[in-house]
Amino acid sequence: MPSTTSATRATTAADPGPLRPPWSARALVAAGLLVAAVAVTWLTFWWIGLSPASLAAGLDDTARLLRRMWPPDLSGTGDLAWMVAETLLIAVAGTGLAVLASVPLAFTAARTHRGPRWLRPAARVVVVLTRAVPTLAFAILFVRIFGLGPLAGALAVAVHSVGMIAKLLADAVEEADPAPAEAARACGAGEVQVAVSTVLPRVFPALTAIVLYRLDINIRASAVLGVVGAGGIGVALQTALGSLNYHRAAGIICVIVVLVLLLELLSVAVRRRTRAGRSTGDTSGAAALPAGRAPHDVGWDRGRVLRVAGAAATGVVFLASLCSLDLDPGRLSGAWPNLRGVLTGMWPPAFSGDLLMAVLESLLMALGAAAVGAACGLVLALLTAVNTTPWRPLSAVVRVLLVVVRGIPDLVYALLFVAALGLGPFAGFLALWISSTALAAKFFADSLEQLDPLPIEALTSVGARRSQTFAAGTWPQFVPSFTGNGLFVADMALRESVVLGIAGAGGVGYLMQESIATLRYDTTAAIVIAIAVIVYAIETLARIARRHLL
Amino acid sequence: MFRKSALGVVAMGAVIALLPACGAGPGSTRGAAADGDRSGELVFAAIPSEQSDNLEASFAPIIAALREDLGVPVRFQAVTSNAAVVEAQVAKRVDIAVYGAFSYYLARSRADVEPVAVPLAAPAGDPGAYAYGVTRGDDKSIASLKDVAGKDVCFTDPGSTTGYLQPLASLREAGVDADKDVKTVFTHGHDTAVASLLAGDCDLAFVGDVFIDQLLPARGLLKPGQVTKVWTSPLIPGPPIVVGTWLPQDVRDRIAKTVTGLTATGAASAGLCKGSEIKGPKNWGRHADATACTLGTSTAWTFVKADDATYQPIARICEITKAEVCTSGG
Repeated sequence: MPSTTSATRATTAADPGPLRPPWSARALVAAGLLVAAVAVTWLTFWWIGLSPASLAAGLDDTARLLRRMWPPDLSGTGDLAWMVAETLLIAVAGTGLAVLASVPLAFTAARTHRGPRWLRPAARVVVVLTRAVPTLAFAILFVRIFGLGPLAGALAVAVHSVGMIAKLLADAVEEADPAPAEAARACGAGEVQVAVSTVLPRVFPALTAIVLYRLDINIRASAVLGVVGAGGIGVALQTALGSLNYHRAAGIICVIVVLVLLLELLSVAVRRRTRAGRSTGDTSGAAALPAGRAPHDVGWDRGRVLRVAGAAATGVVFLASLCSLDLDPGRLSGAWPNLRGVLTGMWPPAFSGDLLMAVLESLLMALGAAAVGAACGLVLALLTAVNTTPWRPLSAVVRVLLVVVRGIPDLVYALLFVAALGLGPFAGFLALWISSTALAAKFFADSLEQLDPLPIEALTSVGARRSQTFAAGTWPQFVPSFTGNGLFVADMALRESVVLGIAGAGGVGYLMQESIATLRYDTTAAIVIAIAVIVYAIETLARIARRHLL
Repeated sequence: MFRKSALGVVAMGAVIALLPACGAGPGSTRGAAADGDRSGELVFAAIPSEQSDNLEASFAPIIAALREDLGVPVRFQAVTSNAAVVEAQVAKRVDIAVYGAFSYYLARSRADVEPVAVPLAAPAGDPGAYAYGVTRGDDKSIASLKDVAGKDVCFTDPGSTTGYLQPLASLREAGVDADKDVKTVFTHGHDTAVASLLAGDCDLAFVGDVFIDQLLPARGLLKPGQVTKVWTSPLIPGPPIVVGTWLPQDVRDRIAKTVTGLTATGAASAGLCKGSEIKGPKNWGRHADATACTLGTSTAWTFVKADDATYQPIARICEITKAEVCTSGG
């Protein structure tokens, strides 16, 4: 944007009248999405019959419930430590496997991909499908193939994570500056060489942020491991909540919050390192390279040693976690008939009017929750991101607060709102809104921190105020990832709308759980197909929007 | 660009500012709104179980009968979490609920509720269910619970009475300590318990009778002879209809009278489930294959009166096992 700004300034000197840039496709897309978000939010509010007064009236009941959760019960530290280790091993193994599959998928699915034309849509379908099918469904499939145990759990976690990691990484690849890639291509580098030498280093900070965040999600979502007979902290939490043992649940939530907080610290530290490496490289890289074909050695400094050591440590942890899965090859021989049994139960998918209605209802609630969540999340993200926060200590406070909000499971929010409001869509919507807000704030803060600092510094240096820097330096850069992440939050909210069922608000998440509980796998298949179609539609919308915004 | 972006920011700010004002939206008067004053309306909540295909449809005849007899609107809520239903009852926002026997045991110390009725599976049956201990058909090493020591055992999950707590208590009485003498595998569901047993992940699985006798064979997931039943539990009380004691005594009595007066075939001839009738299962004796309605679960014949004493067996199980799920404070 610097060129636009300078052009504006030059004309301002000649003609001081109000200036408006012409309406471009970019502005129209942005305005259209905004209007759509507001409209959907209103429609949702109308649908659920929002009434803040009844929420205020019910707060006493919520306070009483909170008092019953206090104090947290942290007894049995040895058990808890073992469960944490178990959860971590499965989450690390699952996330690591997902990364291995995601990186090539993301490069193929990105708009910048230059390979065969048919590959890109194919990669996108794979990404969407892995995302649309819930972990629970994969868990059931993998249990049939590999039997009960951590292996089935790690694979279920891995397959479901591919959808998110590949999608966000593809977005980052598209946002990366194309100039270095073109330069490498002009020198005759092949596509793989271009990807490894120019694009991968650029998206590396984003990749680490995405992977650490997915690890965070996988630790919190480890309740699904109960389905595969593996233990873990999520299963303990689910049992505690199911048996109304809130003191125990509060203790486990404390442990989860500490875990997530540690991951967040790691994420901040890693990002600072990778970013520092990039900017010093920018300045010193200009130093004369040796002429001729002699290989150039970049040398070792503290930063590079730390980066390489970090990468090696990550590799070792990942391999150790893989070893803990104890693969039993003997099981694989009987896998096919078992799998066929489940798959034939899924065919033909049982579509019905009720099901489509539930999907629409969930979609509406998810879009509404995501729109409101994105608005609130943007404010929180601006307070959190180190380059936009008005005051550093505030950034730390908001960051910790967000981690606490994320660490508390949806079921607890649902309980608190159900106590205040009774069962119904309003309570479900509020619970979904809280998780969407936490999700959006995290995504936005991460991508704000990856913005190019130069336009912002340029504006600050000519005396722009904070609000002006934001409007002219930060926001125009941020629009593409704001749109992309915002739509992704909607997509996540739809898939996580199980919480609506917890609060008695029905929807597709409820039907999914009911169909799995009652062994109606044909209904499950129909739901998965419906969700996949919608997720693909949201994804396509996001792509069209980004093509006009980038 | 500058102005338009600024405009975007202002618009976004306006959205946030407008949120609280949206309360006056046209939908705020909708019946489904979860507002505080429910003006005579009763809320009926239930949790999906393996035995109901479509929860709302299977409770529809009961809801219709209650609406008719009580003369007030009854709103049905399907909820996936027992904790949410219990908390809504603590806050007196759910008047009638159906959940598992163990959930009732947990709820009775927190919410002001009492059971009024329990489903009867067949005209000549008992008000409850049995847990089975099953082994693979070709495995002859286990003949009774005493032989279980040293084996791998599949339970469903720690909060299930049929799938965990009752078997645990019976194992204890047979002299087997589940913590030390067996390897415990939680499979999360009754069907997965059977699947894991057949796959060899455990040597004995504890599952509800209805799965072995009806559901799994009917869905083609279990063939005759694949499993052998080696143990049957004492009667485990069924999932009660629980009402809030904040309702006037006469209302509670009328609810009990309405549901105990219903029979599956009677409801069908009264036209309570037009279009979604089922055929009576075999264990209904002379009513087998008769046109019937679902009463909560697809196999319930009628309801019989119940009270807190009906659920004493659960308290006894908790006394024997001292299971962690029983001892929750709060």
